[in-house]
Amino acid sequence: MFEFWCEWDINPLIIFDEKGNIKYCNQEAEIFLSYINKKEVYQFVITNAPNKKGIKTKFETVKFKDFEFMGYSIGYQNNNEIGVRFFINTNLKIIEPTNLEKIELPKLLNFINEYINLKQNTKISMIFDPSIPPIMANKKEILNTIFEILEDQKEAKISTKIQIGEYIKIKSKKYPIIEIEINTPLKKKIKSPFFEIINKENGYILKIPMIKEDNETNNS
Amino acid sequence: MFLAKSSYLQKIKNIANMCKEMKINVYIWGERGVGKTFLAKYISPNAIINPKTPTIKPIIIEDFDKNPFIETKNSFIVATGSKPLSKEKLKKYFIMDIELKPLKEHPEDIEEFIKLFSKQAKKELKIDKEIKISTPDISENLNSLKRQIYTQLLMPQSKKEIFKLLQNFYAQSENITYEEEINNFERALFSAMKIKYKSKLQIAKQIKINRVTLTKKMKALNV
Repeated sequence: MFEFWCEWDINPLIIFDEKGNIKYCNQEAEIFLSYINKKEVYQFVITNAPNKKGIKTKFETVKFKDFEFMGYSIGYQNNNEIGVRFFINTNLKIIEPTNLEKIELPKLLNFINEYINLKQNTKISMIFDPSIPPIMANKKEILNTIFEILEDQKEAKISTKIQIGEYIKIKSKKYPIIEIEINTPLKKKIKSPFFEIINKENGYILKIPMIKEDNETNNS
Repeated sequence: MFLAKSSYLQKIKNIANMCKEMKINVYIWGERGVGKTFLAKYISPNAIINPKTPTIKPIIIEDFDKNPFIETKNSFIVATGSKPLSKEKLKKYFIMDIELKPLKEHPEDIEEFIKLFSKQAKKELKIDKEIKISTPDISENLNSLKRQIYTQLLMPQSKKEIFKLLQNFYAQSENITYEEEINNFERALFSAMKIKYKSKLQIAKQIKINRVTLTKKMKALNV
Protein backbone atom coordinates (compact mmCIF):
# COMPACT_ATOMS: atom_id res chain seq x y z
CA MET A 1 0.00 0.00 0.00
CA PHE A 2 2.81 2.46 0.89
CA GLU A 3 4.57 1.65 -2.34
CA PHE A 4 1.29 2.21 -4.26
CA TRP A 5 0.91 5.70 -2.76
CA CYS A 6 4.55 6.56 -3.42
CA GLU A 7 4.25 5.33 -6.99
CA TRP A 8 1.23 7.51 -7.79
CA ASP A 9 2.14 10.57 -5.76
CA ILE A 10 1.78 13.76 -7.84
CA ASN A 11 5.21 14.88 -6.54
CA PRO A 12 8.34 13.32 -8.05
CA LEU A 13 10.09 10.97 -5.62
CA ILE A 14 13.60 9.65 -6.35
CA ILE A 15 15.95 7.46 -4.31
CA PHE A 16 19.65 7.38 -5.27
CA ASP A 17 22.38 4.98 -4.16
CA GLU A 18 25.75 6.26 -2.90
CA LYS A 19 27.08 6.43 -6.50
CA GLY A 20 24.23 8.52 -7.80
CA ASN A 21 22.40 5.70 -9.56
CA ILE A 22 18.63 5.66 -9.31
CA LYS A 23 17.33 2.89 -7.06
CA TYR A 24 13.70 3.94 -7.27
CA CYS A 25 11.59 6.66 -8.85
CA ASN A 26 7.82 7.05 -9.02
CA GLN A 27 5.69 7.69 -12.13
CA GLU A 28 5.94 11.48 -11.84
CA ALA A 29 9.72 11.34 -11.37
CA GLU A 30 10.02 9.14 -14.44
CA ILE A 31 8.56 11.95 -16.61
CA PHE A 32 10.78 14.49 -14.83
CA LEU A 33 13.92 12.38 -15.38
CA SER A 34 13.15 11.88 -19.04
CA TYR A 35 13.87 15.61 -19.49
CA ILE A 36 16.42 16.33 -16.76
CA ASN A 37 19.81 14.70 -16.38
CA LYS A 38 19.91 12.50 -13.26
CA LYS A 39 23.46 13.73 -12.45
CA GLU A 40 22.14 17.27 -12.23
CA VAL A 41 19.42 16.14 -9.80
CA TYR A 42 21.85 14.05 -7.76
CA GLN A 43 24.22 16.99 -7.51
CA PHE A 44 21.37 19.13 -6.23
CA VAL A 45 20.44 16.44 -3.66
CA ILE A 46 24.00 16.08 -2.37
CA THR A 47 24.50 19.85 -2.17
CA ASN A 48 21.25 20.41 -0.26
CA ALA A 49 21.23 17.24 1.90
CA PRO A 50 20.89 17.63 5.70
CA ASN A 51 24.13 17.52 7.68
CA LYS A 52 22.87 14.73 9.91
CA LYS A 53 20.71 11.68 9.21
CA GLY A 54 17.06 12.64 8.80
CA ILE A 55 14.92 14.77 6.53
CA LYS A 56 15.45 18.38 5.48
CA THR A 57 12.42 20.16 4.00
CA LYS A 58 12.71 23.55 2.42
CA PHE A 59 10.11 25.68 0.66
CA GLU A 60 11.90 27.60 -2.02
CA THR A 61 11.62 27.72 -5.79
CA VAL A 62 13.75 25.08 -7.47
CA LYS A 63 14.16 25.09 -11.23
CA PHE A 64 15.39 22.40 -13.59
CA LYS A 65 15.02 23.70 -17.16
CA ASP A 66 11.24 24.01 -17.66
CA PHE A 67 10.36 22.28 -14.38
CA GLU A 68 9.68 24.52 -11.46
CA PHE A 69 9.00 23.24 -7.94
CA MET A 70 7.97 25.14 -4.86
CA GLY A 71 10.15 23.13 -2.47
CA TYR A 72 11.77 19.79 -1.66
CA SER A 73 12.46 17.21 1.04
CA ILE A 74 15.82 15.46 1.07
CA GLY A 75 16.49 12.65 3.54
CA TYR A 76 18.66 9.66 4.38
CA GLN A 77 18.92 7.04 7.12
CA ASN A 78 22.27 5.53 6.15
CA ASN A 79 25.18 6.31 3.84
CA ASN A 80 23.99 3.95 1.07
CA GLU A 81 20.78 5.69 0.00
CA ILE A 82 19.45 9.23 -0.22
CA GLY A 83 15.98 10.30 -1.33
CA VAL A 84 14.38 13.47 -2.65
CA ARG A 85 10.76 14.53 -3.06
CA PHE A 86 10.08 17.69 -5.03
CA PHE A 87 6.87 19.59 -4.33
CA ILE A 88 5.02 20.60 -7.45
CA ASN A 89 3.59 24.07 -7.63
CA THR A 90 -0.04 23.69 -6.65
CA ASN A 91 -1.07 27.27 -7.36
CA LEU A 92 -4.21 26.89 -9.42
CA LYS A 93 -3.80 27.93 -12.99
CA ILE A 94 -7.30 28.62 -14.20
CA ILE A 95 -7.42 28.35 -17.92
CA GLU A 96 -10.51 29.75 -19.59
CA PRO A 97 -10.79 28.60 -23.16
CA THR A 98 -13.16 31.16 -24.67
CA ASN A 99 -13.76 32.46 -28.21
CA LEU A 100 -12.51 29.25 -29.71
CA GLU A 101 -12.07 29.01 -33.45
CA LYS A 102 -10.63 26.30 -35.61
CA ILE A 103 -7.02 27.13 -36.39
CA GLU A 104 -4.18 25.50 -38.25
CA LEU A 105 -1.07 26.30 -36.28
CA PRO A 106 1.44 26.25 -39.18
CA LYS A 107 -0.75 28.68 -41.14
CA LEU A 108 -1.10 30.96 -38.14
CA LEU A 109 2.65 30.95 -37.46
CA ASN A 110 3.45 31.58 -41.12
CA PHE A 111 1.14 34.54 -40.97
CA ILE A 112 3.02 35.84 -37.91
CA ASN A 113 6.28 35.46 -39.80
CA GLU A 114 4.98 37.42 -42.82
CA TYR A 115 3.47 40.17 -40.68
CA ILE A 116 6.52 40.60 -38.45
CA ASN A 117 8.70 40.77 -41.57
CA LEU A 118 6.58 43.63 -42.87
CA LYS A 119 6.55 45.54 -39.59
CA GLN A 120 10.04 45.07 -38.21
CA ASN A 121 13.40 43.47 -38.89
CA THR A 122 13.10 40.26 -36.92
CA LYS A 123 14.75 37.14 -38.26
CA ILE A 124 12.40 34.25 -37.56
CA SER A 125 13.09 30.57 -38.10
CA MET A 126 10.38 27.97 -37.63
CA ILE A 127 10.10 24.27 -37.02
CA PHE A 128 6.64 22.71 -37.11
CA ASP A 129 5.52 19.41 -35.72
CA PRO A 130 3.52 18.00 -38.67
CA SER A 131 1.53 15.69 -36.40
CA ILE A 132 -0.35 18.60 -34.77
CA PRO A 133 -3.94 18.53 -36.05
CA PRO A 134 -6.15 21.62 -36.56
CA ILE A 135 -7.28 22.73 -33.09
CA MET A 136 -9.91 24.93 -31.47
CA ALA A 137 -8.11 27.89 -29.89
CA ASN A 138 -8.40 31.59 -29.18
CA LYS A 139 -6.76 32.91 -32.35
CA LYS A 140 -6.76 36.55 -31.27
CA GLU A 141 -5.05 35.78 -27.96
CA ILE A 142 -2.39 33.56 -29.54
CA LEU A 143 -1.59 36.21 -32.15
CA ASN A 144 -1.55 39.07 -29.66
CA THR A 145 0.68 37.13 -27.27
CA ILE A 146 3.19 36.19 -29.95
CA PHE A 147 3.21 39.72 -31.40
CA GLU A 148 3.90 41.00 -27.88
CA ILE A 149 6.76 38.52 -27.43
CA LEU A 150 8.32 39.38 -30.80
CA GLU A 151 8.03 43.13 -30.38
CA ASP A 152 11.49 44.75 -30.74
CA GLN A 153 13.22 41.36 -30.97
CA LYS A 154 16.02 40.91 -33.49
CA GLU A 155 15.83 37.17 -33.78
CA ALA A 156 13.50 34.36 -32.77
CA LYS A 157 13.19 30.64 -33.24
CA ILE A 158 9.66 29.27 -33.09
CA SER A 159 8.92 25.57 -32.75
CA THR A 160 5.79 23.57 -32.09
CA LYS A 161 5.30 20.13 -30.58
CA ILE A 162 2.82 18.00 -28.70
CA GLN A 163 4.08 17.69 -25.15
CA ILE A 164 4.07 13.97 -24.45
CA GLY A 165 2.93 12.90 -21.01
CA GLU A 166 1.58 16.31 -20.04
CA TYR A 167 -2.11 17.14 -19.90
CA ILE A 168 -4.32 19.99 -18.84
CA LYS A 169 -7.67 19.57 -17.12
CA ILE A 170 -10.47 21.85 -18.27
CA LYS A 171 -13.93 21.24 -16.85
CA SER A 172 -12.86 17.80 -15.63
CA LYS A 173 -11.73 16.81 -19.12
CA LYS A 174 -8.09 16.03 -19.88
CA TYR A 175 -6.46 17.56 -22.96
CA PRO A 176 -2.96 16.97 -24.36
CA ILE A 177 -0.81 20.08 -24.58
CA ILE A 178 0.64 21.74 -27.65
CA GLU A 179 3.71 23.78 -26.93
CA ILE A 180 4.70 26.80 -28.98
CA GLU A 181 8.25 27.53 -27.92
CA ILE A 182 9.70 30.90 -28.85
CA ASN A 183 13.42 31.18 -28.25
CA THR A 184 14.27 34.84 -28.01
CA PRO A 185 15.68 37.09 -25.26
CA LEU A 186 13.24 37.45 -22.36
CA LYS A 187 12.53 41.19 -22.34
CA LYS A 188 9.22 41.20 -20.45
CA LYS A 189 7.00 38.90 -18.41
CA ILE A 190 3.99 37.79 -20.40
CA LYS A 191 0.83 36.23 -18.97
CA SER A 192 -2.49 35.16 -20.42
CA PRO A 193 -5.79 34.08 -18.86
CA PHE A 194 -6.43 31.82 -21.84
CA PHE A 195 -3.41 29.54 -21.68
CA GLU A 196 -0.28 28.98 -19.61
CA ILE A 197 2.86 30.87 -20.63
CA ILE A 198 6.23 29.86 -19.23
CA ASN A 199 8.66 32.78 -19.15
CA LYS A 200 12.16 31.33 -19.12
CA GLU A 201 15.69 32.59 -19.59
CA ASN A 202 15.91 31.95 -23.32
CA GLY A 203 12.32 32.66 -24.25
CA TYR A 204 8.72 31.65 -23.77
CA ILE A 205 6.58 28.54 -23.99
CA LEU A 206 2.85 28.82 -24.75
CA LYS A 207 0.97 25.76 -23.59
CA ILE A 208 -2.19 25.44 -25.65
CA PRO A 209 -4.77 22.76 -24.84
CA MET A 210 -5.27 20.49 -27.82
CA ILE A 211 -9.04 20.83 -28.20
CA LYS A 212 -9.99 19.21 -31.47
CA GLU A 213 -13.73 19.70 -31.65
CA ASP A 214 -16.03 22.63 -31.06
CA ASN A 215 -18.22 20.68 -28.64
CA GLU A 216 -15.34 19.43 -26.54
CA THR A 217 -15.83 22.28 -24.09
CA ASN A 218 -19.05 24.10 -23.33
CA ASN A 219 -17.35 27.47 -23.21
CA SER A 220 -16.74 27.76 -26.90
CA MET B 1 -7.74 42.54 -58.90
CA PHE B 2 -4.86 43.32 -56.55
CA LEU B 3 -1.90 44.83 -58.38
CA ALA B 4 1.44 44.18 -56.78
CA LYS B 5 4.63 44.66 -58.75
CA SER B 6 6.83 45.95 -55.94
CA SER B 7 8.01 43.57 -53.25
CA TYR B 8 6.31 45.88 -50.73
CA LEU B 9 2.84 45.45 -52.26
CA GLN B 10 3.46 41.75 -52.78
CA LYS B 11 4.04 41.41 -49.04
CA ILE B 12 0.84 43.37 -48.34
CA LYS B 13 -1.09 41.16 -50.77
CA ASN B 14 0.24 38.02 -49.12
CA ILE B 15 -0.76 39.24 -45.67
CA ALA B 16 -4.16 40.39 -46.96
CA ASN B 17 -4.80 36.93 -48.41
CA MET B 18 -4.00 35.37 -45.04
CA CYS B 19 -6.25 37.86 -43.20
CA LYS B 20 -9.03 37.03 -45.65
CA GLU B 21 -8.65 33.29 -45.18
CA MET B 22 -8.30 33.35 -41.40
CA LYS B 23 -10.74 36.24 -40.86
CA ILE B 24 -8.30 38.36 -38.90
CA ASN B 25 -9.54 41.73 -37.68
CA VAL B 26 -7.29 44.36 -39.17
CA TYR B 27 -6.94 48.14 -39.10
CA ILE B 28 -5.56 49.65 -42.31
CA TRP B 29 -4.11 53.15 -42.17
CA GLY B 30 -2.30 55.53 -44.44
CA GLU B 31 -2.59 58.88 -46.20
CA ARG B 32 -5.32 59.83 -48.69
CA GLY B 33 -5.63 57.76 -51.82
CA VAL B 34 -3.30 54.90 -50.92
CA GLY B 35 -6.05 52.31 -51.40
CA LYS B 36 -7.21 51.63 -47.83
CA THR B 37 -10.85 50.91 -48.66
CA PHE B 38 -9.81 48.85 -51.67
CA LEU B 39 -7.61 46.69 -49.43
CA ALA B 40 -10.38 46.43 -46.82
CA LYS B 41 -12.83 45.21 -49.51
CA TYR B 42 -10.22 42.78 -50.80
CA ILE B 43 -9.82 41.28 -47.31
CA SER B 44 -13.56 41.20 -46.57
CA PRO B 45 -15.41 41.25 -49.92
CA ASN B 46 -18.86 40.49 -48.46
CA ALA B 47 -18.67 43.03 -45.65
CA ILE B 48 -21.19 45.80 -45.08
CA ILE B 49 -19.43 49.16 -45.33
CA ASN B 50 -20.19 51.62 -42.51
CA PRO B 51 -23.41 49.89 -41.39
CA LYS B 52 -26.09 52.22 -40.05
CA THR B 53 -27.72 49.56 -37.87
CA PRO B 54 -26.08 46.82 -35.78
CA THR B 55 -25.33 43.67 -37.71
CA ILE B 56 -23.60 40.39 -37.07
CA LYS B 57 -22.28 40.25 -40.64
CA PRO B 58 -18.65 41.15 -41.43
CA ILE B 59 -18.21 44.93 -41.49
CA ILE B 60 -15.83 47.55 -42.85
CA ILE B 61 -15.63 50.82 -40.93
CA GLU B 62 -14.05 53.81 -42.65
CA ASP B 63 -12.34 56.65 -40.74
CA PHE B 64 -12.26 54.49 -37.62
CA ASP B 65 -9.72 56.84 -36.01
CA LYS B 66 -12.19 59.74 -36.25
CA ASN B 67 -15.53 58.06 -35.56
CA PRO B 68 -16.47 56.62 -32.21
CA PHE B 69 -16.93 52.90 -32.42
CA ILE B 70 -20.25 51.35 -31.48
CA GLU B 71 -20.00 48.08 -29.57
CA THR B 72 -20.81 45.22 -31.87
CA LYS B 73 -20.72 41.45 -31.88
CA ASN B 74 -19.16 41.19 -35.31
CA SER B 75 -16.57 38.50 -35.49
CA PHE B 76 -14.86 39.96 -38.54
CA ILE B 77 -14.07 43.68 -38.59
CA VAL B 78 -11.84 45.54 -41.01
CA ALA B 79 -11.40 49.27 -40.52
CA THR B 80 -9.53 52.09 -42.18
CA GLY B 81 -8.13 55.39 -40.99
CA SER B 82 -5.52 58.01 -41.69
CA LYS B 83 -3.58 57.67 -38.46
CA PRO B 84 -2.24 54.74 -36.41
CA LEU B 85 -4.28 53.70 -33.36
CA SER B 86 -2.91 53.53 -29.84
CA LYS B 87 -1.70 50.07 -28.80
CA GLU B 88 -4.63 49.70 -26.37
CA LYS B 89 -7.29 50.63 -28.90
CA LEU B 90 -5.72 48.44 -31.56
CA LYS B 91 -5.62 45.45 -29.20
CA LYS B 92 -9.22 46.02 -28.10
CA TYR B 93 -10.81 45.81 -31.52
CA PHE B 94 -8.20 44.35 -33.86
CA ILE B 95 -5.37 41.87 -33.97
CA MET B 96 -3.04 43.91 -36.12
CA ASP B 97 -2.63 46.97 -38.29
CA ILE B 98 -1.28 47.48 -41.79
CA GLU B 99 0.23 50.76 -42.87
CA LEU B 100 -0.28 51.45 -46.57
CA LYS B 101 2.63 53.59 -47.67
CA PRO B 102 2.26 56.41 -50.25
CA LEU B 103 2.95 55.61 -53.91
CA LYS B 104 6.17 57.63 -53.91
CA GLU B 105 7.65 54.99 -51.59
CA HIS B 106 6.96 52.15 -54.03
CA PRO B 107 7.14 53.84 -57.48
CA GLU B 108 7.56 50.48 -59.26
CA ASP B 109 3.77 50.09 -58.97
CA ILE B 110 2.83 53.39 -60.69
CA GLU B 111 3.08 52.03 -64.25
CA GLU B 112 0.82 49.09 -63.38
CA PHE B 113 -1.79 51.41 -61.86
CA ILE B 114 -1.69 53.63 -64.97
CA LYS B 115 -2.39 50.57 -67.13
CA LEU B 116 -5.22 49.44 -64.86
CA PHE B 117 -6.91 52.85 -64.59
CA SER B 118 -6.55 53.46 -68.36
CA LYS B 119 -8.22 50.13 -69.07
CA GLN B 120 -11.01 50.88 -66.59
CA ALA B 121 -11.53 54.41 -67.92
CA LYS B 122 -11.66 53.28 -71.56
CA LYS B 123 -14.26 50.65 -70.71
CA GLU B 124 -16.32 52.99 -68.57
CA LEU B 125 -16.22 55.99 -70.91
CA LYS B 126 -16.45 53.87 -74.06
CA ILE B 127 -13.43 55.67 -75.52
CA ASP B 128 -10.92 53.73 -77.51
CA LYS B 129 -7.75 55.75 -77.68
CA GLU B 130 -4.26 55.45 -76.27
CA ILE B 131 -3.04 57.92 -73.70
CA LYS B 132 0.47 58.58 -72.48
CA ILE B 133 1.18 59.77 -68.94
CA SER B 134 4.71 61.16 -68.93
CA THR B 135 4.54 62.80 -65.49
CA PRO B 136 2.22 60.81 -63.23
CA ASP B 137 0.41 62.95 -60.67
CA ILE B 138 0.82 61.10 -57.37
CA SER B 139 0.26 64.12 -55.13
CA GLU B 140 -2.85 62.40 -53.76
CA ASN B 141 -1.62 58.91 -54.57
CA LEU B 142 -4.10 56.76 -56.53
CA ASN B 143 -6.82 59.44 -56.37
CA SER B 144 -4.84 62.04 -58.30
CA LEU B 145 -3.42 59.44 -60.68
CA LYS B 146 -6.89 58.17 -61.56
CA ARG B 147 -8.16 61.73 -62.02
CA GLN B 148 -5.24 62.50 -64.32
CA ILE B 149 -5.98 59.48 -66.51
CA TYR B 150 -9.71 60.23 -66.81
CA THR B 151 -9.01 63.88 -67.59
CA GLN B 152 -6.50 63.01 -70.26
CA LEU B 153 -8.85 60.49 -71.80
CA LEU B 154 -11.68 63.02 -71.94
CA MET B 155 -9.49 65.71 -73.52
CA PRO B 156 -10.35 66.62 -77.14
CA GLN B 157 -7.82 65.12 -79.50
CA SER B 158 -8.65 66.60 -82.93
CA LYS B 159 -8.92 70.25 -84.01
CA LYS B 160 -12.56 69.54 -84.83
CA GLU B 161 -13.22 68.46 -81.23
CA ILE B 162 -11.38 71.49 -79.88
CA PHE B 163 -13.36 73.75 -82.19
CA LYS B 164 -16.64 72.26 -80.97
CA LEU B 165 -15.55 72.52 -77.36
CA LEU B 166 -14.55 76.19 -77.73
CA GLN B 167 -17.71 76.98 -79.67
CA ASN B 168 -19.75 75.49 -76.88
CA PHE B 169 -17.72 77.29 -74.25
CA TYR B 170 -18.05 80.73 -75.92
CA ALA B 171 -21.75 80.20 -76.47
CA GLN B 172 -22.23 79.77 -72.74
CA SER B 173 -19.72 82.42 -71.60
CA GLU B 174 -20.34 86.07 -70.82
CA ASN B 175 -18.04 89.09 -70.52
CA ILE B 176 -15.39 87.77 -72.84
CA THR B 177 -13.15 90.03 -74.84
CA TYR B 178 -11.35 89.42 -78.08
CA GLU B 179 -7.99 90.47 -76.66
CA GLU B 180 -8.25 88.22 -73.60
CA GLU B 181 -9.18 85.17 -75.63
CA ILE B 182 -6.40 85.76 -78.17
CA ASN B 183 -3.98 86.14 -75.29
CA ASN B 184 -5.19 82.88 -73.75
CA PHE B 185 -4.75 81.10 -77.05
CA GLU B 186 -1.23 82.49 -77.57
CA ARG B 187 -0.24 81.67 -73.99
CA ALA B 188 -1.30 78.02 -74.45
CA LEU B 189 0.40 77.79 -77.84
CA PHE B 190 3.72 79.34 -76.74
CA SER B 191 3.99 77.40 -73.50
CA ALA B 192 3.33 74.12 -75.31
CA MET B 193 5.95 75.00 -77.93
CA LYS B 194 8.39 75.95 -75.21
CA ILE B 195 8.08 72.45 -73.73
CA LYS B 196 8.38 70.88 -77.17
CA TYR B 197 11.17 72.89 -78.81
CA LYS B 198 12.94 74.42 -75.80
CA SER B 199 14.62 77.40 -77.66
CA LYS B 200 12.86 80.48 -79.03
CA LEU B 201 14.82 80.17 -82.24
CA GLN B 202 13.36 76.72 -82.85
CA ILE B 203 9.82 77.82 -81.91
CA ALA B 204 10.01 80.78 -84.29
CA LYS B 205 11.24 78.52 -87.07
CA GLN B 206 8.61 75.83 -86.49
CA ILE B 207 5.50 78.02 -86.15
CA LYS B 208 6.74 80.52 -88.68
CA ILE B 209 6.83 83.72 -86.64
CA ASN B 210 9.47 86.39 -86.34
CA ARG B 211 11.79 85.62 -83.41
CA VAL B 212 11.75 89.21 -82.09
CA THR B 213 7.92 89.26 -82.23
CA LEU B 214 7.82 85.88 -80.47
CA THR B 215 10.15 87.04 -77.70
CA LYS B 216 8.09 90.18 -77.15
CA LYS B 217 4.82 88.25 -77.03
CA MET B 218 6.18 85.58 -74.67
CA LYS B 219 7.48 88.26 -72.33
CA ALA B 220 4.19 90.13 -72.41
CA LEU B 221 2.20 86.95 -71.77
CA ASN B 222 4.61 85.87 -69.04
CA VAL B 223 5.33 82.50 -70.70
